[in-house]
Amino acid sequence: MSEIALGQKEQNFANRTKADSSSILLRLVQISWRNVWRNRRRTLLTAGGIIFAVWLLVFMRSFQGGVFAQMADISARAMPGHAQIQHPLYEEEPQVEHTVRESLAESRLLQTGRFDFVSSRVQGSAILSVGDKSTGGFVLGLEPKVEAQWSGLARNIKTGAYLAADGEAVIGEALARNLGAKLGDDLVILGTAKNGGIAAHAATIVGIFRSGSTELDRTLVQIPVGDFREAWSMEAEEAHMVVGVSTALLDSEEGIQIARNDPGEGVDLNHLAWQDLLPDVVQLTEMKDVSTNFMFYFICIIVVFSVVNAFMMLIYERTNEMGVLLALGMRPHQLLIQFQVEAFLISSLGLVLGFGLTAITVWPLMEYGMTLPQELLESYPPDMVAMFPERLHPTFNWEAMRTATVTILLGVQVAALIPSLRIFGMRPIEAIRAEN
Amino acid sequence: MSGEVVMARGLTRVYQEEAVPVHALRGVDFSLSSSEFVSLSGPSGSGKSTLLNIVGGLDRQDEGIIELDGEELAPLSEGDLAALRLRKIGFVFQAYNLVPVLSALENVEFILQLQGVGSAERKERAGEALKSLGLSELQDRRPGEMSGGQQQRVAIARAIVTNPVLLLADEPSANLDSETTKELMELLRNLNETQGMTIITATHDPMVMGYAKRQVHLRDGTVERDEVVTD
Repeated sequence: MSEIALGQKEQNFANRTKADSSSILLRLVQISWRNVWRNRRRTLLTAGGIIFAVWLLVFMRSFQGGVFAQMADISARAMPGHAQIQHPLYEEEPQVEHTVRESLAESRLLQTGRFDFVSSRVQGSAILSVGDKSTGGFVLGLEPKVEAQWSGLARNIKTGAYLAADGEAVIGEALARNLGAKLGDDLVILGTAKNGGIAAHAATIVGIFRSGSTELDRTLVQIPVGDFREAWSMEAEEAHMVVGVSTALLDSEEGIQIARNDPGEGVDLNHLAWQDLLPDVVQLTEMKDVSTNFMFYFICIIVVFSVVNAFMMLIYERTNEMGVLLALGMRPHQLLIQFQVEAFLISSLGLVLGFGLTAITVWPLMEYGMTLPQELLESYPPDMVAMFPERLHPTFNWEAMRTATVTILLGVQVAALIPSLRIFGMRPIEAIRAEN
Repeated sequence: MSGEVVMARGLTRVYQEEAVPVHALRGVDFSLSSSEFVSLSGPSGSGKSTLLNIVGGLDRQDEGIIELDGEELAPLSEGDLAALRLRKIGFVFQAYNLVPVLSALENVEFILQLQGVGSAERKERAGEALKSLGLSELQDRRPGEMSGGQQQRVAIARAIVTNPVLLLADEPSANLDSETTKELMELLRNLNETQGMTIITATHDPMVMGYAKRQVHLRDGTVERDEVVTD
C-alpha cells in the first residue's frame, strides 16, 4: 500500500470518527441505562435519598405555602384587607387630619381591575363608656354593607348581629366584658375631632365579636363611616384609608405590585400591599421557609455523599471493565461521559419518582384539605392559630420543584464527577489486572 | 504479503515492586512479519505478557525501540496510542472481558462504533463476524447468558471485526476446557491461514503453542528460543 493511500485511510478514519460521535453518545446512554440496573439495590437506595429530599422540600413548601396563603388571606380579611391607599403621612403619623379623597383612592384600586371589594374607612382613638364604666379604645368607621361581604370579623359575631344601620356599633368580646356591656346598651364614644373639638357619639350595641386577636377583642369598636365622620367633624369624601380585597391578589405578584407601586396622577398617595400591612405573617412565612430549606439542603448533602460513595464503589467494581475498554481504544472522556450519564439517569429517576410521590400526596390534600396536627399548631402564635380555618389546603409549589430539580441535578453530577476523575489517571493494563 | 508488522530492538522493562527493581524484559529483540502466527511462552515472570503488552501499546518500554506497522510507539501520547490500538490491534483477553450489559452483536458493533463506522455498515460487519464464528444464533444474548467458549468466540469476533493488522491473545485458553480450547485454536489458525491474520498469543498451554507456526520461548526477560515449527 502506498504512503498516499495509507494517509487517505487515516484521514477517512478521522472523518468517520468525528461524524459518528452522536451515535457513540447514544450508545453510551444505552450502556449507562443498563448499568444503572446492574446493581438495582444501590440504584434504588441512591434514588430513594433523592426521592425523600424532593418530597420533603416540595411537600413541605406546598403545605406551608397553602397554610400561609390561607393565613394571610384570613389575616387580611380580619382587618386590613389585601391592599390599602392612605395619606402619605398616615402610616407614620396616624392623625385625624391625614386623609385621602375617597373617590380618588377608590378609583385607584378599582382601575387595577383586581379587587372584588373596595371601601373607605376612618378611625381614631376614643374613650368608650357604657353606664358608669369607661375604658380607652379604638373606633373604626366603615361601610357595613361592603365589609359584611368580606370581613372575617363580620362573620365572627358571637352575640347579636353585624352593623346594618346608622347609630349602631359592634364591639369586641373582651371590651364588652370590661364595660359590662350587653346587646342594646348605649355606647358613648368621646374623642378629639378633626377641628380640635370634642368628637362625641352614642351608638346602640347590636353585636359582640370574637376575632381571635386579644388586642382587637379588647379595644375595637366598629361603627358606620357616616356616624364617625359626623362625630369627628370630617367631610363626606374624607377617609383615612381605602381598603381593597381580592383573593386572587394573594397569588398575584403582579397585582401586589400594582397596588404597591401605582404612581397616581399627580396625587401623592401611599399604596400598601398585604405584605406591608401584615409584616408578622410575612416574617413567619420566611422563617418557616428557611427551616424547610435548611432541612432540604441538609438532606441534599447526605444524598451527595451517598452518590460519591456509590460512584466510588461503582468505579472500584468496574476498574477491570474500564481497563478493557481503554485497551480497546475507548477514550477516558468517553468513559467519563458514560458515568455522568449514569448519574443523570439516577438523579432523573429520583426526581421523577420524587415528584410523583409529592403529587400523589399533595393533590388529594389540595382537593380535600386537612386538619393541622396539634403539635404543629403549637409552633404558631396563638393569635394566628385562632385565624386558621378548619381545613387547610396546600398549594403546589412550583418554585420548590425548580429548586429541587436544579440542586439535585447539579449536586449529583458533581458528586459523581469527583470519583470518576480517577479514570484519567487509569492505565489500561493495570486496570485490567484489578481484582473485581 | 510479508511486511514487518512488529519490530522490537533491545526492549527493556523494569518494574519497581516495593522498591525492588524487577527486570521483566532485558534487551529483547523481536520481529514479526505479516501473516505470522506466533506463540510467546515461558514460565511466570519470564516477560511474555510484558512483551505482549508493549507490542499492543498497553505498556511502554524503559529502553529500546518498538515499531508497529512501521510506526514507532515511544513518541506517541496516550491518546495517540489509544487511537492506534483502536485502528490496528485486536485484543483477546484471558477473561473474555466483554461489556456485560451489551449483547454479543452490540459488543462487536461497539468497537466499530468507536471507530466511527456508520450504523448500517456496523451491523452488517458485526453480523458477518459473528456468523463466521458460528455465533449468529447467539447474537442477542448478553455475556452472562453464554458459556465461556461462546464468550471467547464473541471476543474474537470483536477483535477481528475491525480487520486489525495484529491480533493479540493473552492466555486465551486459561478459562476454557481442552475441547473448547481446541475449537478456539482451530478458529485462530483458520483466521491466520484463510485471512492472513497476524497473531501473537501468550500462553502456558502446550496445546495453544502447538497451533502456532513460530514459537518464541522467554525466560528471565530474554528470548531463550525462537523457532519456526515445521509440520
